[in-house]
Amino acid sequence: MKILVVDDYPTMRRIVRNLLDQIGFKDVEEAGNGAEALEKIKVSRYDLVISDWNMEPMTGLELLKEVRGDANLSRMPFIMVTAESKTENVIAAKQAGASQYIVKPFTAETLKAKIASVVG
Amino acid sequence: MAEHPKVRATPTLQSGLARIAGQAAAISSEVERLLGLDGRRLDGAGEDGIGEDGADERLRQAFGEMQAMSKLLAETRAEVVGLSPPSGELGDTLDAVIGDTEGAALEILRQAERAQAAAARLHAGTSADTTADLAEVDEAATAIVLACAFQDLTGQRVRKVLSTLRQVEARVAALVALLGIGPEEGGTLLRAAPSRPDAHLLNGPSTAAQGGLGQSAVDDLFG
Repeated sequence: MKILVVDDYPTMRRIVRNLLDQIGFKDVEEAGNGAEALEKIKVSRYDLVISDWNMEPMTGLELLKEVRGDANLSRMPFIMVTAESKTENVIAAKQAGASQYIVKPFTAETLKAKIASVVG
Repeated sequence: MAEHPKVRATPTLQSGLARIAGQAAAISSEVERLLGLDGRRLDGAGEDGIGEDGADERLRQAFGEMQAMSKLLAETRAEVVGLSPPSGELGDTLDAVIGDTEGAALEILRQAERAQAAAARLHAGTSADTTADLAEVDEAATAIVLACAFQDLTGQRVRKVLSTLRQVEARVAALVALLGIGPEEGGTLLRAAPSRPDAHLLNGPSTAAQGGLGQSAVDDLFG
């Protein structure tokens, strides 16, 4: 399974990549923001996107809306992993079509459970 | 170190404050000059025929209002001058915090991955030298402990920034009170124009007291 990890902090990308490796997912690519991720998604096929929200120049929510608005990508599993933990954020992400929502900081078990729930 | 988009420096703040302070000083000087003129006119009011009761009273009222305006401008200028943080200091300190935390996190990750690799070799029975791999895990653990010393440095730096921000906060409150700005008007003035559709949702990390949800509450909402 090919996974795209999107976060503007290299540290967080490395943490997620490490956890994914521990879970057993080896085919992982990275992007530093929503715009960079969108370019990659339009060129390569990914089975799952794990994205931060608060990034420049394109946020994770904007990326999610772009993905859901594209007929070719609209069914792609998309997990939001973010420090934005207010009710309004969770509702906005759900309405935009997020498959799951993980609040930072999170555990390996949470990441594993959410991935399992969206990709089976 | 490159500025991170999540920690914005405000390069225009100081120049803006300096400009406001300069304008307040210029207006204050102008009012002082006019006060001098009006004072002379008041002194000689009876000599040139404008010393009639109505005109004289209006002149006195104008003089009083200009004095009050001058005092207000002088106080405003003092508050604005006090509001200016030391040049570049806050941004530099926060940049250093980002650098410290990023450096420590990368070091901790590097050492953890080193330990994981050694442990994986030991688990799989592929270790060429079990004693060396056990030492590798031990050394990595020690390095992780040492890397956590960043918290002492960042804690001191953040406390320093907090202290300055509290001083600025008190000054802003004094300035708002001085200018008689109400809560609604102040909110309108200070609210930045949203730069993106989800700008109102970019709150950053929130504590429970600030309305932040834990994972189980998020799961309940996500249903």
